Amino acid sequence: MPINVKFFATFRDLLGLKELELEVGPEETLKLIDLLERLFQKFGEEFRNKILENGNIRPQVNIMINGRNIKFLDEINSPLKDSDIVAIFPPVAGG
Amino acid sequence: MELKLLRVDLSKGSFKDHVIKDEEVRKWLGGRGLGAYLAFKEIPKGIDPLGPKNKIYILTGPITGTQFPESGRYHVIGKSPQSGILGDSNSGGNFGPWLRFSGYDGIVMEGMGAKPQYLSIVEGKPKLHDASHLWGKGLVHTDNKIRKEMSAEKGGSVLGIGPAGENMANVAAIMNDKWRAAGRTGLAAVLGSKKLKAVFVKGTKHPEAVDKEAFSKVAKEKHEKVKNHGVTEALTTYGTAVLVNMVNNIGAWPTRNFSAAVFEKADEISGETLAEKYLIKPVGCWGCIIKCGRLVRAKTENYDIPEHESPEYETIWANGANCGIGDLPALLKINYLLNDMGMDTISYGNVLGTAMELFEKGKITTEDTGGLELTWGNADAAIELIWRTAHRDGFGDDLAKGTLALAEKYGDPEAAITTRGMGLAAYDPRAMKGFAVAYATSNRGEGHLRSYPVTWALLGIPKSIDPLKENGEKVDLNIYQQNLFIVIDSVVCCKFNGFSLDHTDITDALAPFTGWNITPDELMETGERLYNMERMFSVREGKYIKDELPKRLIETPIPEGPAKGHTAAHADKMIKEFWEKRGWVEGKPKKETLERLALGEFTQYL
Repeated sequence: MPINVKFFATFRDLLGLKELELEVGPEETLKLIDLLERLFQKFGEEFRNKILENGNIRPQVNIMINGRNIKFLDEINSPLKDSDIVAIFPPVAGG
Repeated sequence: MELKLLRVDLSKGSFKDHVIKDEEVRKWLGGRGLGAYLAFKEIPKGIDPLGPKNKIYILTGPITGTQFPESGRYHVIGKSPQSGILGDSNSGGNFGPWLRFSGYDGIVMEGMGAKPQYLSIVEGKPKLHDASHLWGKGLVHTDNKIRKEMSAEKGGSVLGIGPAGENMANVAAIMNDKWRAAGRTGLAAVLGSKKLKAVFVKGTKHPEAVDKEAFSKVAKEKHEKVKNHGVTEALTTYGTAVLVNMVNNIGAWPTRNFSAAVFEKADEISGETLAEKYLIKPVGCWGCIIKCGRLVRAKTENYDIPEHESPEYETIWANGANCGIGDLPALLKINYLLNDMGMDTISYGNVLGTAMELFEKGKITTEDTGGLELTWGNADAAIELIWRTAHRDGFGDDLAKGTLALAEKYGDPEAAITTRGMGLAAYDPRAMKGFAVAYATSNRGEGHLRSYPVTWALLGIPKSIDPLKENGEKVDLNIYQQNLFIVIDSVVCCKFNGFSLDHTDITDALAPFTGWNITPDELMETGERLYNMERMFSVREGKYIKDELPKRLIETPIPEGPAKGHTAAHADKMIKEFWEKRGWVEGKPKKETLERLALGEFTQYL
């Protein structure tokens, strides 16, 4: 099963899509940063700059793996496995 | 500085000016704080909220309608018919600034009119008008008609109640500028009991700072700070409903009356979908640079909904996920009708969700509902019941009384997910643990705008804390925000300033505007004073003093999603820590706490 990557809010406009799937080999071990690098290669520098600042995730950009914020997992080194759902949010707020 | 209030005696049809002196303004600020103080002094203990002794305070604050960012709001205070304790609510739009421009900083409605009336204040001159021809009409018609009668095609602002307020429904909302609501706590029913249909305000008297140059400079700096903050772009582009997907994603979006916390159709009713399909343009309140409001129009196979301001995040949740409705055009229709009938969209969603749960359990039947199948997701029934609720027709009368009364009548009080009788909002405290404190300790009940754990759970403000973690730091942050937010509600500006500005920024602006030599510490102590004083209304009333959460949230684990298995059993420990840190016992401020905060006059009520 591939990893499902979902984009929200302004990222949908920037990338022109809501979600995509990334295949992971059966023996492949993948960290979040590896997945992000694949996305940066696909979508370019503007997307990279919206996500990263000095090699870390920008403050107020939220990335969830199966609904758990990577800030409370292992940040950009959080491990990924088959069938994981990665959700990527730009800064949002509401009320 | 002084604040000038207009006292309107509706029984006699007379007016009186009441000037709040500088010393009192510095102690109670304005808006929510001043209103709570006046309500405590003037509304006797134990009175019927719908009787002649209740009063309604419609107040601005020192920096409303000025160059300070997001200052286009007003606050309403009175004894709530929904909770029986102090009620209050806040609204944006244009009314707050235009009230100040009319020559008054606030209005106090007293007594009861014998017939429907509306009040106008134009250039400092108040007048009561017959409103018999407007009684029974919706807010769109009322706004248009009053503007015509006052020859005000442009400028000025209309505040009013719809049929729900006229018929004294507990779920009624005070509306202004057609689509903006001081919705919570049912104070529109109090205006209905007084037969006060509407208020029109217009004028040219702009509030002036003591040190104009310094205030202007500070206001511009704060504007830039708000404008350049990361969250502003998302709010402008997608409105408050931009939060739908995020809260649902972490498994904290209460679904089907808090029986689950992930809604399978969240994306279909999200801010992103709203923007993609129905948005005409973002709109803002007076002077707003964020513009989180959405002007929308929807024409689909089932619905033809005119141009209007679309549902907010909370409205989409309460009537959407909370009732199992995943149809966005239906939610636009529901929002349009609730606004026009003058109903609080959150309270309606709360009571409808409870009714649907009781119907699914067989405790409410089609015999009770007049034939309507109140199954989860039945949007047609939700739409039909709006008119019936506003007019208290048949089963609508049960809904008009609110969630708690409904659940008690049908023998299942635990199906009412409330604190202090007020239905909860769009965050599950089992999955966002800080909300357990926010909801339980809010003075008016509910309380997603009394402190806002979203800031540290999702936005990293002031720092990121795991929403699933149970710790005392969240108690500290709730207390800080409760004190800050009551300051914001009392100087009267928008809480969305709270994402990018803090109490030091407000102090920076307040000092040159008022001429006070005020420090950030004094401002935060004022917030603490106001929060304690507000609690004293419940203490004197002898109602809803203890802070507690609904049993379901404490005992029943979330069944699925990222927070599967979590409960709010942590609430008890955190609430005790909250009391300790506030200097309270069992929800009641200690004598020494009141004395420390210059609230000695309140100790006699302990």
